[in-house]
Amino acid sequence: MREQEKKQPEAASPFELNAKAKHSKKAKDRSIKFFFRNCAVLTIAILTLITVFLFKEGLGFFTQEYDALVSYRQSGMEYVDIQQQPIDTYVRLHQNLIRIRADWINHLREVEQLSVNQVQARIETSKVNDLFFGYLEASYPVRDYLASQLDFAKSVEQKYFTKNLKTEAQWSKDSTDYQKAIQQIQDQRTEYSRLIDMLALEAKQRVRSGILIDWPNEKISQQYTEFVEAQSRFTDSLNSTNLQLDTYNFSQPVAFKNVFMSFLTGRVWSSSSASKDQYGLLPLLTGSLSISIIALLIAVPFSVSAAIYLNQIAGPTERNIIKPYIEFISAIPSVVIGFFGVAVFGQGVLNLSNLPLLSWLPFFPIQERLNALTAGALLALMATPTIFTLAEDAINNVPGKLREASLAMGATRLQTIFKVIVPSALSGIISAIMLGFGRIIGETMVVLLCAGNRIKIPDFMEGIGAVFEPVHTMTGVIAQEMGEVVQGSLHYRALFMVGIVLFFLSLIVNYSAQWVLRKYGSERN
Amino acid sequence: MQMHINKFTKRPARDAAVENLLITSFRIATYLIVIAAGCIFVNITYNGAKAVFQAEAPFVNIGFLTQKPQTLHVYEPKAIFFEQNAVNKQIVALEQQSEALAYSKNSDKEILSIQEEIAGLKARNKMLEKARKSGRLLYSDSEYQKLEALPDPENYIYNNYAYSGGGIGPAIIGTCLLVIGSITIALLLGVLCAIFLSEYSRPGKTLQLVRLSILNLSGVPSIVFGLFGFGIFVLFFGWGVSLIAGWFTLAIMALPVIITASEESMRSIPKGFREGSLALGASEWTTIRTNVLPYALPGILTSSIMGIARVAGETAPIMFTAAFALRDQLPWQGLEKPSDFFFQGVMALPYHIYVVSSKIPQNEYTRNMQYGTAFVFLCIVGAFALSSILLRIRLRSKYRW
Repeated sequence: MREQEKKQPEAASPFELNAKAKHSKKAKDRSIKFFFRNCAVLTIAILTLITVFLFKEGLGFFTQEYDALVSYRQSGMEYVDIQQQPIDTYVRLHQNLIRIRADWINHLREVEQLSVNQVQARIETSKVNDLFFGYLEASYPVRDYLASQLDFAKSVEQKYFTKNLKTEAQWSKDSTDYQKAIQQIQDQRTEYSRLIDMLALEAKQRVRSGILIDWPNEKISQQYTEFVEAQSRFTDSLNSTNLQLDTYNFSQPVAFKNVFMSFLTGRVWSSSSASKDQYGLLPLLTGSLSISIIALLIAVPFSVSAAIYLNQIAGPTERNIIKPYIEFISAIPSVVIGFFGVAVFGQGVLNLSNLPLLSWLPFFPIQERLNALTAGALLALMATPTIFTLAEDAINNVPGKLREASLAMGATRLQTIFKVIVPSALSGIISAIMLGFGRIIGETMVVLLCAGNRIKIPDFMEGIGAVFEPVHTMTGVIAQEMGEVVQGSLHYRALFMVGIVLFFLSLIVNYSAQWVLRKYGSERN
Repeated sequence: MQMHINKFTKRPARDAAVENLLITSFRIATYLIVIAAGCIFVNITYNGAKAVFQAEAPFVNIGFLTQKPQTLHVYEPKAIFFEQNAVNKQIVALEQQSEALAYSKNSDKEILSIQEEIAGLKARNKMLEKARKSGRLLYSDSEYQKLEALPDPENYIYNNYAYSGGGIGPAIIGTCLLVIGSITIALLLGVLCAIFLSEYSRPGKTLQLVRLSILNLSGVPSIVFGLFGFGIFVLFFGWGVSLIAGWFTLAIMALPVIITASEESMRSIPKGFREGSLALGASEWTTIRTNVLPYALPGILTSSIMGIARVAGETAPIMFTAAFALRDQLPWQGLEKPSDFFFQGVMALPYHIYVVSSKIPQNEYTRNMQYGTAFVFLCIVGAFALSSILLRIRLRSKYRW
């Protein structure tokens, strides 16, 4: 169409200009066009360049992570970490024990109404202390041993796998020194076996001494029986660790699949751990998604019903005031909303949960004032104008004759809304919700200020109480950690990878919102 | 025998009730949104106005708007402070006592007497609070250094709070500089690009692709723009945390929005306008200049004001490209050569809000700074957004083709 239209003036111009003027005019026109094209190309080039840069920095993560995993394995740190695993389980078991003790004390305080001193007298007998504290003490020798082993493995890693800054050289991995060091780590295995056997034996004794304690009520003794079972399972699982250590091979190549998996399904994100730094996306992704879901659950009913109300039910005065007002909400900067959350809203939710009136709810009172719900509720307010405006547009675009036809058939106002107008605007409403989701998941300041910033996958076993746990999000982690990373380090690249994930997520959300409109929205026009 | 039901009779009451109920719930939902947003506006305005406005002429706290952020030094009268603490402790103890008594029967009298006592203590507490407020001494950094003799430590308790004194002058200036620079870059590139895409380019697969990717880029989270701004300008080009890095980062963030909106407003102008001009023998550029741009200009203006609101309101992109938490000098002070102007970090309002709301405690001394900054910032961004919305409403009724 437009090509034709461009050629027209040359062919059909009825005015006769002299040849020279015509020529110079054409040249001017061409140069202006050339200028515009260059500007457009420059702009698009900048936008492309930036995307390319994002990928260049991010994808380097995988090669670096691969190298890190190789050195992790070959320096023996992984070997030590395998030895560490049973101890981690052991410490977790001990936490169960602590919980039992806390329950016991609570029981004594509240049911038996004992004073602090009396409780102490009941609880601090040698038999009881043997169990609760001796259990942890039993693991001290192994932990000392493991700490020294880890230090040694780290020194091996430093020496043979990190480039020496002064000489730019790397020690040869084939050198006899390296072989000797590895041999030394492996030789310590017998010591480890001895210590861990000792631990198992001692733990068994401690647990047995616990059976002699007369537990105050059924529930606590039940808890203790469960603990004893878990403890015996732990003793059994030691064999599998032994097997793993037996078949361990220092020079086994690292599969590239593992590198991807360690990022995509890793459950730990920690940049300052004692052993190897781990960058697993899962805790951040679940944090982002759970906050978004909370926000959508709040925002969608409100904004869609507001859209229906203002477009179909409200009078013109009401509409002309409230519609720009809701549109104006989108102008509140996110950092101001975040500040409101920190200063007022978080404390408000905490106070609300402390009300005796609501104490029958299982997850009240809540522990933290900044949690997933605080952030989610505030994000809901931020997403509301987006969803509202687009949904209202979609409802507005439904041809008036549909509505009139329905009303003429004798349908009530409500029937018209739910059976005629909403179904025909549904594609628009769904795409509005998706764009709202895109807005929520990319929001930074509110989650940085109000989500509590704890990198941990929420415990969904707790049911609805999980929404009151602090979480960390993908956007939040970038904002929090980007300022202090070294350029080109693994951490730096991991953050860029998170950025790429966000980039793709928003592209997918945007694209599918447009797709929904194209696929299901066309019959309208 | 009456099988036929008259459709025109009054509807059953139950249906009408359901309808009314649903409509009311829709209305409640709508007004809840209004109230929720209103809470934020009122809270920020009420508390922020205390910091920004004052009772005496000139009614605006000019110091707050122009001074640099400073540490606040607080001297509280010792005797009153301790007495207040003791009273508070007593109140807590008494409250515990009355709670404990509430479990046992026949103690109504005791509870009553305790409650009376609590009420008395609370009144005393209020009085002490007033005395403390009138007796305390507050100094900002500059005043503190000028003091000849410090208040007597025997009589006063000393505390200091970072960022809580002074004002937000450099942050306002920094935000203005960031917005002006970035919106200039974004408008220049964006409008030229939009003119090309809408007027000169040939329709086809490539154009469709370019358009689609620009549209999708406008939905990318701002923190991702901040991330590559940091990677490319701050680290790769080595500009450091600087004004110019912030300009480009913000401009790139605003570009897709501005291109899409400007192109949209140009494409919505009817073809007949262009064809008429071309038929009269005008060149393409003349056509664009006289028959397209004037009608597209309001639309472009709206989109650019929207762009300004977005650029000014974002924190994430400037967090590690342009913003400093604290900078003593104003941007034009202490420059060795003119180019240094571009390579210095500045303070910015949104980042300042982030800093004061996350890095310092919440109490009566820090409140003013926190709410004052949020209020000023909300006003600035709100003004741009409001004018954009009003302009759009006016345009909707003005141009129809």
